[in-house]
Amino acid sequence: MKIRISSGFQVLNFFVSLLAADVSAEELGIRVSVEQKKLANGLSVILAEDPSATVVCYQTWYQVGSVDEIPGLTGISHLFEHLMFKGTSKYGPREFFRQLESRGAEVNAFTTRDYTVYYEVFVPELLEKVMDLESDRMTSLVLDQESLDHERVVAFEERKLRAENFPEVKIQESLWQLAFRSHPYHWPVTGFPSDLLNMKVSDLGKYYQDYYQPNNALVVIVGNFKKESALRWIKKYYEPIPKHDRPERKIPVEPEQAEERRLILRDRIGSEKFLQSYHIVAADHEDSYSIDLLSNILFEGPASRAYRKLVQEEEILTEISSASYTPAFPGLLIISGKMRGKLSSEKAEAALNRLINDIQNNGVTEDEVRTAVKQLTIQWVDSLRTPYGLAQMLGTIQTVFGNLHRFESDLAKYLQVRPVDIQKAAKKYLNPNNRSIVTWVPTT
Amino acid sequence: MSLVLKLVGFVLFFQLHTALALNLPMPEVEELPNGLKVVWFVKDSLPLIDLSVFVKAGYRDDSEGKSGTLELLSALFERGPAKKESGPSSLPMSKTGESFGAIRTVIPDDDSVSIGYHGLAQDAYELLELLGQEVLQSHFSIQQVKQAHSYISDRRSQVLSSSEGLAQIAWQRSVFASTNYARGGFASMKEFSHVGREDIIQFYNKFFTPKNSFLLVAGRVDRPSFKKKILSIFGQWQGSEPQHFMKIYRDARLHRKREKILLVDRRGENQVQIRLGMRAPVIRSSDQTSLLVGNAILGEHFNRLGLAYSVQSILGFKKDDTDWMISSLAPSEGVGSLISGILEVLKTIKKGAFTEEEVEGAKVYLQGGFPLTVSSLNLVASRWLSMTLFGLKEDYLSGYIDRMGQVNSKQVQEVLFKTIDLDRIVVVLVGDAMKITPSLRKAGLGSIKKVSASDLQ
Repeated sequence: MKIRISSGFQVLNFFVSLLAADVSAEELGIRVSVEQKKLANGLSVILAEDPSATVVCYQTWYQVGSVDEIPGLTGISHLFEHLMFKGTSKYGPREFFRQLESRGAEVNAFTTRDYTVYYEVFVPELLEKVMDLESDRMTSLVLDQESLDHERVVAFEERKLRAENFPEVKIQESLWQLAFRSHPYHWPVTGFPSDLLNMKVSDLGKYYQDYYQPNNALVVIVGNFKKESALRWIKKYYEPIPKHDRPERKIPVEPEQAEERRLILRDRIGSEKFLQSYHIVAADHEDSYSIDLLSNILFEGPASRAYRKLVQEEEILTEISSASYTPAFPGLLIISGKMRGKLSSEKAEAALNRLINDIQNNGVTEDEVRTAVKQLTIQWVDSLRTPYGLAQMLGTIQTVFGNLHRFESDLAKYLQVRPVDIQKAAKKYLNPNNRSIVTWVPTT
Repeated sequence: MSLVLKLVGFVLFFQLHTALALNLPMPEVEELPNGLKVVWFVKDSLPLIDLSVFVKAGYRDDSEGKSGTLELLSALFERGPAKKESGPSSLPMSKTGESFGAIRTVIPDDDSVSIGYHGLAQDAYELLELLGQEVLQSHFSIQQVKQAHSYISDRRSQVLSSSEGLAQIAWQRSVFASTNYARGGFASMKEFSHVGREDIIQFYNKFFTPKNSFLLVAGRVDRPSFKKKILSIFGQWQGSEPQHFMKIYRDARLHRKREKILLVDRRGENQVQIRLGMRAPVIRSSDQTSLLVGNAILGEHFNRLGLAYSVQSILGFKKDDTDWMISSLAPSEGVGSLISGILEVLKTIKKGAFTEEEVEGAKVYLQGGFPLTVSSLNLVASRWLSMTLFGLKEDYLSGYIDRMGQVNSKQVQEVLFKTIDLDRIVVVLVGDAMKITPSLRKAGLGSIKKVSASDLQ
């Protein structure tokens, strides 16, 4: 890797030459050239030019999510994401549609617990227009009662639709509420309906002023564009925006969970479903690598321990999967399963306990670790296949870790994990007192 | 393979942008002596490899009274079939695939099935060997078939327990009634109960032949040495081009006589799954590009209704047929007025009530959106295979943007007039009949055939 600093730019030529979990493996041989720049007003910019791409992906990351909310104003981040499409003093409410979507661009946004992202994927000739529109709404958004009332209805409808039609969403929300009591990860990203009802235009105005600032934002541009033009336009559209510091994050710490927590939901569903969570670590914690591998060994793919045992051999589940959510603050390892026919999830719980105990007592094999590392390597490389995927990866690394060098070093860390580290992680985190369980049971 | 183009709205006030020059990777195709066509998309920028055997036989090829055969066969491939010598358990082979960290993909649909691996380029040779063993030397034991059968029955029950799943099944059966696409992958649990090991072996022996298949190789690979490996594994594969005997199908349980609307009753639902539309010209038709433009105009007219919930208009291309589906999810009390609004828009569009400017705007929208659909090698390869299966010309992808530019307003008017037949429109709703019916009657849409979810089992 070469790092060159010139005229305020950091040029990072990443060459990922990892030996992929196999002593005789070839090099991965991935070359990604990334430039990083920070404007005087604090705006961070990452550019990755790829002339072979058919499109450009432009992402604007604001370091604000539901974790920054306070009780009484839950859901403001998500509601605000909607309001960002309602127009500015310069451009009316349908301008993103008129200027971009009508020319085939994909325009969208999403809010998470830790950050909010606005993105566009489009043909190269639209790049300047995208910058014009994005920089404009960073500073000149019109917030009024009419927009708030309208978007509140839309947010309610979206919530109703998601909760009623996607049981997974409802069950996930219930699990996070059960697992977290003090930390803001307790509430759903969409917020509590009563808070949405009470939200005022002045609340939104303060939120906009506090968080939608260049100093709290990151722009990532990936794909088929000319770097020189992009940088010229960045200066033109973003430099005039004044610097403004965001409030310091003061997030309550979640006390250690010391008892198992359970919740039963009943609904018109065919078969029982369940979610289990264990408190784990944040993304920057060294244990996160062992936990990811542990999660894969147990749950990833048809030859994972849980799939083989519970889906294929014992035939008690139709699906089993897991995800280790290691966000900016300590997160959760979440296991989800769907029972076969009328079977109760108690059967799956007992079987899962046996699988976990086995790893805690007897560990995992070198072969299993090697396989899990390869799975994660493929997932990692897969995300580089499109400009959107690479932009998403660069944005996540910079926003969560604040260090773009993790792009090349992160994957290598998995290679340093030994079977004994995974056994230790299983013992440390997968214990019943650290567990919350939500079961989703058919109404009789 | 279904190619679904999802097209929503656009607006008008801009010029056509300059012609987009897309440098799409195009494959090299070579035919082995046994008739197997190898499709090469070689690109070394990422250390990945996609290998798949693409067989030109789909759900439509299930024998009469044996629907679910391909579903069952696919489930066996998904779970990892065993080699003949490895006994009844599926474990040995799936364990081998997993040890490379590779992802196995099995994708069946109405017209085709593909079985493949996605993994690291450094494992390409081993994955090819594994794919060859799975596709050419699979042994389906009675025990495995029994397990997969029970698994699919369960999975089917779960689909039938969701409104969206029910809507999709009812839509396919209704819009394609009396064609060989109406049955889909699964006619009924009763019919599936008669599908067994001998049926999947029969299907496999008939359709899994080199002359009826492609082998896709996409990613970082050394072509000359990989070709040698392909020949050593797939060179001995034998079998002829199969005949396809497809039966038409009509689900008597869903047949509407004079009723306009098919309503699948699900008590307690607050929202309604709406599917409305018709059949449309096949993808090989000269009308296809104009139809895409017409669909984009339709999307914009729906936007103008100013609804709080979205209405999508989708052209679903299959090899020999197309459905044009307008879908939405709306509150029960608003369903009547929503359907009336949609029908009114269709009526207006059929009459040609749109401007030249709208046509040009739709073309720009489609031209600008096309590069997004081919933004990675695997997307291009997948689209290329679909195009080939559909019998489209080789320049279909590379010529898309130019072809779109040549469409004119008259052609769009003609195709919309020809395709939109308001007397034969299909309307499928899934929701609580007690809550929906008053809204439908109020909107003058009282001609309803009501069925229950169990009628779709």
